[in-house]
Amino acid sequence: MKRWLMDILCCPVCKGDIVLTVTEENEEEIIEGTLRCDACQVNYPIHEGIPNLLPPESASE
Amino acid sequence: MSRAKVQAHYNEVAEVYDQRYDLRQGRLYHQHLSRLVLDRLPNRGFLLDLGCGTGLFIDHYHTLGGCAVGLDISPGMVGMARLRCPESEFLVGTADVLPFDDEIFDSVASLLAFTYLHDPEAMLRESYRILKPGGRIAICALSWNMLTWMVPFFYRLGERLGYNKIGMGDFGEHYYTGEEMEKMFSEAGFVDVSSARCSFAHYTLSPRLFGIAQRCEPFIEAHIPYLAFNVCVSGKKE
Repeated sequence: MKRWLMDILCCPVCKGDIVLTVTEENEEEIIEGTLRCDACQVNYPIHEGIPNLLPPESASE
Repeated sequence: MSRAKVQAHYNEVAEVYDQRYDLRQGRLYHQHLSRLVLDRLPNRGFLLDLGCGTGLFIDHYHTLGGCAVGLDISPGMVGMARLRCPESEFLVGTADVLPFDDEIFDSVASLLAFTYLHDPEAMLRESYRILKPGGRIAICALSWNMLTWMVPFFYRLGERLGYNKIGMGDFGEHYYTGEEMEKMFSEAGFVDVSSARCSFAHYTLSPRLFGIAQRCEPFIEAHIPYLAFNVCVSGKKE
């Protein structure tokens, strides 16, 4: 996931801002990390460069 | 039928998916649909592909000079799409709950995914929200006709027999007519809504039959659209 994607992403549920935490990044993109919606108190993972923004109820369905 | 089932199925088939749609007849079939969708969208600008799969459509769009983001419910498919289109961005998500700010995209495309949605109205409302004013949407999906109404039956039968081919399984899919989809588009707020039935040559036919069906395809689409098994519906946000 490239950093510019943050400019257009929001929480899928409340559409509010999400906060990026990076745990691994190379010169091109973010490899591992988290996107957190504080309002919903949900963490969305970034794994192997792919952000997963499935809302919680769908992820556990 | 749960999203998890669709997700699990496509994760399972991700690595072999392109053998279906990116080789020989499958490629011709998919390119035909891609062209129909592209004819209804601006060929430049920022596009969102809902149900992007392995990125076949985005790859096509990118060669025309467009920039795109793909979303798919299956991490396995998105992983393949990243390999195919390193210049584009992909994420895992569901098309009826989109994680994008309002009025971001110039166009929305979706190929062969609409029938899986639990809440197609929500997908259209969300697409409307994330499109810029003047933005366009085009969706191509398997549609209801005399040939396709039996498909769910065969999928259920296939699943019972353990026949695990790509896209074959009982996912509780819904097939709509062009008129039903046009109504949904209008209710979501889109204007300039139209639909056209398309596809007569199915990639699973034998090469000889596929060749014949392909030659008949333009005539069928123009004059006997009822026999075409996909539908392409498009609209515009004012």
